[in-house]
Amino acid sequence: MNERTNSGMSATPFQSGAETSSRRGFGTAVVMIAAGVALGGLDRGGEQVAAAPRASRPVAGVCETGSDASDGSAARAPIAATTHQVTIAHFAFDPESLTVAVGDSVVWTNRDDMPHTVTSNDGETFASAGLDTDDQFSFRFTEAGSYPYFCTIHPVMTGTIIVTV
Amino acid sequence: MNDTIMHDHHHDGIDRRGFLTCMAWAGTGVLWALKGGVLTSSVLAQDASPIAGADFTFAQISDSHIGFSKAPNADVTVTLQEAIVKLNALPTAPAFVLHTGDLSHLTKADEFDTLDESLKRVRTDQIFTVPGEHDVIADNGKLYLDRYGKGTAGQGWRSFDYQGVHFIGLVNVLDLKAGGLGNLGQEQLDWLKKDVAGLASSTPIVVYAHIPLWEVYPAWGWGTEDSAQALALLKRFGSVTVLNGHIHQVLQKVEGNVTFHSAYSTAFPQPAPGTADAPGPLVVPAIKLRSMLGLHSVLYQAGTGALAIVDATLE
Repeated sequence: MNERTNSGMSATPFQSGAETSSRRGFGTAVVMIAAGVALGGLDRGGEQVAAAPRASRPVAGVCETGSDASDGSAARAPIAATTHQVTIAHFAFDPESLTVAVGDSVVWTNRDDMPHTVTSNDGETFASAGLDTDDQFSFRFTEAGSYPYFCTIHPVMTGTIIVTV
Repeated sequence: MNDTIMHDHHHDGIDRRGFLTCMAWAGTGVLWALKGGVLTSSVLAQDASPIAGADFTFAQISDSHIGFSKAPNADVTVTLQEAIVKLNALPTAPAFVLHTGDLSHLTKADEFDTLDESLKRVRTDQIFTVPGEHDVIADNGKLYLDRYGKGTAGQGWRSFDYQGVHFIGLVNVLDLKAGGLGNLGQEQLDWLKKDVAGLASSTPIVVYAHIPLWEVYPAWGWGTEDSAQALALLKRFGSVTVLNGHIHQVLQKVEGNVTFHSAYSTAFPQPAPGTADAPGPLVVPAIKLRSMLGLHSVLYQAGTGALAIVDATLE
């Protein structure tokens, strides 16, 4: 069973603070119910970075939008966790396949002029809102496995995150 | 579900001379006529016979992408409004307007509000929509259906009859799968089968949907996974016209008795299939933009099974 950790900003630093305030519009917050059910152990695992009002705290295994995901409830960041970057450009995820360690976070940044989503193939483990240009979505992986995902707006765009112990 | 439009306020047909005068703005317009499944085209100024004596007209607009604000079009509301001005300048108002999806850019309420406000100015009796994938982002179509789902079946599909023509609006942007194309789904296919079951094979059929129902360019997702099953249900009909948006450019294809047409966007053009590394907006000089945006006017001539489709740019 995974260790419950808070996956707030302190645990998932982003490269550019400026990008976190580049959102122009997503008004509301909570997006998808997710991982806890499907994977039986993923804790609150992902948050989309956005300058939008926060929703009430989600239950475990929820992707959320919000400019600040820390709520002061659990506190500990994973030791030596790394944040990896995936760029969305030219209607593709780059890198298309990425291997990370358990506890690591992945941040997707949309550099296209068109919106995209980052959505696990099962539609449940993680699912971003629509990401406009320069918007980001983050998810922390707490269980080993292979996580194929795609863009629901342009389904030909696919990628995989491989999480190793 | 069948909806029948009861109002026909232009039963006197089309005034050919007046229509041609109006169509002068369609600088690059090409007239398409469908007779018995055979598509013929003619340049507007040379041969307008297919539109003479039309019994009614309807118009198609598509891909408004309200909310988009980047190159090559910083104000897509303005170009939508220009398209509406063109529509309203027709000598006879279209009986109805079909919007073939991507009304919004990011599935946001204020984008739909802006679209609705603009469409109020269209001189027509009714506007029918189908969603594009930009209208159903991350909510499985909930916001779209709350606003535009009235009178539809399933997840937004519908049919209606107008002066002997059967119109079918299909939804192919929901439940898309990784690596896949557009999707109709079994529930909708079952509905379609029942919907057309009682129709005579001589009934002209017009299908409208967002993503093309033919494989325009699968590498860019320009096609619909299970379109062949839908088309098989329509195979017995003598005249089937399929209208779509999504690819922001005019393309036509004939396959047996089925003719496919894709429409201009009112927002921004996209590259021709395979001519760019990705299907993003085609950035063109401002002076060229309006020649790559536009709408369709469609005229129907009863008795001949003829549909004439006029592709009209904004300038």
